[in-house]
Amino acid sequence: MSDDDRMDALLRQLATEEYNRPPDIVPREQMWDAIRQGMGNEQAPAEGGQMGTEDRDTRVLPLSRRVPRWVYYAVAAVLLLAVGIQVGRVMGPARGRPVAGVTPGGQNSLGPDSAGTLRNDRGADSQYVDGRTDDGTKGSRPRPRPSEPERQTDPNAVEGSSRAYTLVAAQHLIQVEALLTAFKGDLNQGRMDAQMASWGKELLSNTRLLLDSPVASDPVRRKLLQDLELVLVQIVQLSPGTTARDRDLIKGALTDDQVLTRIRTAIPAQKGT
Amino acid sequence: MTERELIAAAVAGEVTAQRMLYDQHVDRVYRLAFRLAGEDDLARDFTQETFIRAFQRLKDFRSDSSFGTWIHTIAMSVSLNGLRKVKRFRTREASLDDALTVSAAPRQAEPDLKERLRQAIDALPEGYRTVFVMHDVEGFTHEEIGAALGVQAGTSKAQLFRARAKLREALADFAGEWVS
Repeated sequence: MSDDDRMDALLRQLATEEYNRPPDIVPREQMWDAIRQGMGNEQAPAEGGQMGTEDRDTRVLPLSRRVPRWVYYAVAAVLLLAVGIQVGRVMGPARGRPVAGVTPGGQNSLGPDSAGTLRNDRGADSQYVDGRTDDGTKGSRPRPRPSEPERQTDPNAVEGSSRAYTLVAAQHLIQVEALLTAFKGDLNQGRMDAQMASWGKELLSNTRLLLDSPVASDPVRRKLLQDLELVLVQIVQLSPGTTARDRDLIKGALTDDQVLTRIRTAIPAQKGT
Repeated sequence: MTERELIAAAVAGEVTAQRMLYDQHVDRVYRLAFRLAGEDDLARDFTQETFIRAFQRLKDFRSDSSFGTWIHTIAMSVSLNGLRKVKRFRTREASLDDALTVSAAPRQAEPDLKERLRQAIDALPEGYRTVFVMHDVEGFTHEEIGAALGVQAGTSKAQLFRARAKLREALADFAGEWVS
């Protein structure tokens, strides 16, 4: 046995005896009570046979510990996006100016298939695009609408609407940046947080909403949103059984397309407009 | 009752089954949480949150790994994330990159070997410390560690090798009398 081995053995023994040594008795009952309360099942009877009624140091977990933080972020992002879109709808498109991304003839200025290609691939999520009319009710929204007269409003209102969309887009990009940064960190450490997919799903929905909003009329922003959509789709589809190769592909997409850099560039640019 | 039956019953909401799963695994989860946190309050918080999450997500559990492996994966995620948050508010903790600083301190300043060892372990980078505590202190296998941390067993071995080397380096001034 070498000196190193001997020292390792001694360190191991000493660490086992001394380093953060847990108490001999595990506070099972107290923790179990707190778990039951944390799960909102305090009313459950003592079915386990070990739950007494004696006075105990019951510790109720606060709401912030029971609800994952990403839920708050996701709700905030969705609310912000919804408010932005609602503001845009209330203010309406410009008088005498085409709706962003749509020519006066009702055609998408980016070409007939530029948005449709992705939309057609979205499957079940396509209701975000097609399931609503402008007044917010569900139904089939004809698109494009060549026969409808252009809705025209005050240019100042349009400018305000554009600012609202831009603000929402900036907030959204901040959220996406946070997700991708966290995801990249997990990738580097060779693990994956299961919450990442749920978080990504929310952001994916918002990305798709933005792709159908005037925000996407800017070709640079549109390209960024489309790239984000593809990356988020890959993240959402990740599961614990996903191979390292799949993760490497996402990492490659992040790196090759310089997605994070482009987001960071876009955020201050949008905030400044 | 097999583990699979127990899990099915727990998913169906049977408190007795949940309690049995809890009793089977709580000691090891708590001990590991305590070793990592060093405080009873934090260890309890981490253990409770681990089981709450596990029971809430039990329907998603796939039997391609054991429940023990799965719950330790959750426990490690909860504990390490929790510790990161705690460390942000505590400045007394040594910087994770300062492991060698400990070794440079004069021995007379900290004559207590146990305290030096504690400081040296605390100062290890998070990955090294986690693997060292799990393997050398709590007796997890590299396969178990790999599953819990989402890394290969070989990665766990490499981290342990480096952790031990850093500890030997940090406590080098004690080596002479130890190995003699």
